[in-house]
Amino acid sequence: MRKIDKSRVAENRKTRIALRILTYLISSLIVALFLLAFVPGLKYWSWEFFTQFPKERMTSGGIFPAILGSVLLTVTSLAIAIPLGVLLGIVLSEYNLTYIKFAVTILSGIPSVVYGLFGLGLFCITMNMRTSILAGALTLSLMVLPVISSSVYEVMQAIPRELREAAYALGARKSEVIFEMLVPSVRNTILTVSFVSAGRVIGETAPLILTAAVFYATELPQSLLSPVMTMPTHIYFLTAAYGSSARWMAEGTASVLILFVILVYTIAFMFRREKK
Amino acid sequence: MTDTVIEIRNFNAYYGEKIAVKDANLKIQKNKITAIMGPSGCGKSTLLRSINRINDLIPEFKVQGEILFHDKSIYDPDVDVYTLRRRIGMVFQKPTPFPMSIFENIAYGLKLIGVTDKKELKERVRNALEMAALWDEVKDDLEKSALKLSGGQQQRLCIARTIAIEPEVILFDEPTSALDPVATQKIEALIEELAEKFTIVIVTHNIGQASRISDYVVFMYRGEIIEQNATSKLLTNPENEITQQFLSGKIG
Amino acid sequence: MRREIKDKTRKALMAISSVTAIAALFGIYYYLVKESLPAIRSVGAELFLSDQWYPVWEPGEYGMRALIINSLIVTVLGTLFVVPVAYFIAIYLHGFASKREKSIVRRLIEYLSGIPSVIIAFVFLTYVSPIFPAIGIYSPQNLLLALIGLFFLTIPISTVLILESLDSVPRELEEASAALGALPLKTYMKITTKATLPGVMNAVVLTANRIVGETIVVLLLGGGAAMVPTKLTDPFKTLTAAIASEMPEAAKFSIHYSALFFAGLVLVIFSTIFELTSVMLIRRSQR
Repeated sequence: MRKIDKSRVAENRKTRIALRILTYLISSLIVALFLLAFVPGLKYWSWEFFTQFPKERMTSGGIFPAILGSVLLTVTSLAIAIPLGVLLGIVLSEYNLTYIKFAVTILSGIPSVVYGLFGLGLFCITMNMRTSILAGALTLSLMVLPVISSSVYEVMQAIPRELREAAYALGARKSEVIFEMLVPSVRNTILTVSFVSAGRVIGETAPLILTAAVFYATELPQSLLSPVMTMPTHIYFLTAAYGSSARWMAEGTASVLILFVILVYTIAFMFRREKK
Repeated sequence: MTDTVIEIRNFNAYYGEKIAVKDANLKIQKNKITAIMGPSGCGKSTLLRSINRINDLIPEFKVQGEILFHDKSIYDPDVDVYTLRRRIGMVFQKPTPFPMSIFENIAYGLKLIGVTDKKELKERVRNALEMAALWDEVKDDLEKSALKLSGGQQQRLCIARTIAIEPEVILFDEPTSALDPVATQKIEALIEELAEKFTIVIVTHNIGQASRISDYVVFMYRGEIIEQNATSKLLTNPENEITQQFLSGKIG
Repeated sequence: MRREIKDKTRKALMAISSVTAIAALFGIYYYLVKESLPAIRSVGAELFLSDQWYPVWEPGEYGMRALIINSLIVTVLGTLFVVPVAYFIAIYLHGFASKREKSIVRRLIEYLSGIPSVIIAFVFLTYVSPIFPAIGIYSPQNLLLALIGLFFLTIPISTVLILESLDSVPRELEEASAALGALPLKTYMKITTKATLPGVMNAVVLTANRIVGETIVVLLLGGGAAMVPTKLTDPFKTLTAAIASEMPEAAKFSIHYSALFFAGLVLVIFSTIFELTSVMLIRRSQR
C-alpha cells in the first residue's frame, strides 16, 4: 500500500452513518406513533370505561360492548379459519395442485373491503344473516384463510423429505403421515400464525362496517345473528361521525385496542421463537 | 533471489472465543506458488482469508499478531482495506459468477478501479479472458449470462475477473474441490502459468494437487503450522511425524 | 376399520378446505359481477368514462373515473415514497447493522405491521391533520396526509420483504465482490440486489397491492372529494373509500349499491393483476 488511501474507508463509514440515521429516524417515528396511539388514552381507563355502555352521545360511559364484540368476532372467526386454514395449508403442501395454490395466492391479495362486499352480498343478504357476528366472522375467516394456509404450507414444505419417507416405510398411509406426524411437528407455527391472524382480525374495520358492526348497540349481542360493536369500528364511527366531543372515547379505545394487538403479537413471537 | 511479498508473524485468529489459527509464522515468496495444505478444519482457509482481510466481513472474527504486505502491517488502522483487496485477489471454492453477462462480470472489477473508457474495458476484458484460457470458448457470446457457463468455465471466469484488475497476489481457496477432474486439470495448468506474473497462495486438502503445482508447501493441523518447506523436500522427506501421518493418509 | 374411517374423514376435511378456497375465489368474482350488472346495464361505459360521481343526486350520476384514477395515483405515489426508504433500511439491516440492531429494528417493524390501520389513521388525523389549516392549507385531509399514513402502514411489508430477499443471497457472492475491493454499499446495490431482483420487485408489487386495497387510512386521511387532486394538498377519494363510506347508506339493490359493487370489481381486477405479477416474479426468482 504505497498509496495510503483513507478516503474509501471514510466513505464506507459515512455510508453506514447515513443509513443508520435513516433507520433510526424511521424507527423513532414508529415508536412515536405507538406512543401517540397508546398513551393519550390511558387516562380514560377506569372500571366504568371497561364495563359500561357508551352514554350521552359518547361523552361518557364505557366501551364494554365494543370490547366484547371484538373478542366474540375474533374468537368466532378464528374458530372457523384456523381449522380450514391448516387443512388448506396441508393440501397445498402435500398435494401438488397448482390451481389451488393459484387460487389462494389471488385470494391473499384481495382488498379487505372487497371481502366485505362479498360478505355483505352473500352472507348478509342472500343468506339473510343481516348485520351479524356470523356474517362478519365468516367474512373475516375467508380473509385470513390465505394467510394461515400459506404459513402452514411454507413450514410443511421445509420438513425434510426423509421424515416422510421414514413414516411411509413403516407402513403409514398418506393421511396418517400428515396428521399424525407432520402436523404435530409444526404445532408452533400453527400457533404463531393463529395469533398473528388474531391480531389482524381484531384490528379490521372495513369488512365489518359492511357486515357486522353497528355504530351503537343498545344491548349486548344475543346470538351469533346479532350485530355488534367492535373496537376498531367504534374508533372509526367516532372519528367519522362525531367531532371532538367523542375524541376522548376514541383515544381510550385506541389504547385498549393497541394493548390487545401488542399482547397477541407478543404471544405469537414467543411461539415463533420456540420453533425448532 | 527470492523476495518476500507477504510475511505472517505470530498470527492468531479467533471466531469469537474459538481459536482457529495458532501462532502462525510464514513467508510468501514472489512469483512462487505456495500451497497451504491440511485436513478439514485445520485453519488453512481462515489463514488464507486473513491475508486479504475478507474475514473482516465475519462478525466475531478477531486477530492477534501481524500480517505484513511489503513490510506494512495490513491490520494497521490507516490501511485502506479496499485497496488491499485490489492488490491481493481471491478465488473462492465455489465458482461465484455475478448475475450478469460474461463481459459485465469482468468489467465490474475494472469499473471499480476507475476504468471507464469503453475501448479500454473491451481490451482488458479480452486480455483477462485470454490469460484465463477462456477467451476462445466465450468470445462469440460475451453478452451471455455468466450463469449459463459450466462449473469449470465459471471458475475460470472468476479467475479472469480477479486478474483483470492486475493484483500482485492471488489467493486460491480450494479452487478445484467443486469441479470435475477435467476442469481441475485445466485450472491447475492455468495456475501454473499465472505464477509467472502473480504470486500465488493456494489452499488445498489434496496432497496430489500440492505436489503437482506448488513450489512451497505449508502443512497445517488443528490451527498450527506444523511444517513448511520446499514441496519436493517436504513431500518426500517430512521432518514431523504428524506431517508423515497426513501424507500417508492416516489422518485427514 | 377405524383406520379407514379416520382416513376417509381426513380426506373429506381436506377436500372441504380445498373446495372452500376455490369456491371463495369464484364466489367473490361471481358476486361482484352479478351485483354490478344493474349498474353496468343502466349506466354503461359512463361508469368509468365519466368523473361525475354524484350517486345521491336525483337522478344519480355514477362516473367513477376520478375514483379509479385516485386509487391509481395514491398507489403509484405511495409506492414511490415507501419503497426507496424501505430499500435503504433493508440494506442497512442486511449489511451494516449489528445483530442486535437488526433484530430490534426488525421486531419493531413487525409490531408496526400489526397496528390496525384505523389507529394509524386516527393518530395522524388527531396530531398531523390540524397542522394543515394552521399553515394556511385549506383542506385538513388531503393526499399528502394520506400518503404519510400509508407510508407507515406499508413500511413493514416493504422492508421485511426486501430484507428477506437480500438475506437470501448466498454470502459467497458478496464475498466475491468484496474480494475485488468493492465497498459494501456497492456490493449490496450492484450485486446482492441484482441477484435477488425478482424478490425486490415482488416487494414493490405487493406493497402496491396493499396500498390499492387500503380503505380506512385513505378514507379518514384523504378527505371526501371524488375529484382528482391537482396538488398534494387537495382532498380526494378512492374506490375503497367510496365503498366503505357510502355502502352503509346506499339503498339495497339501488344503482348506487350496484355501482359500488362495480367499484369492488375494479379493485379485484387490479389486485388480481398485482398478484399474477407477483407469481410471475416469484417463479422467475426460483429459476
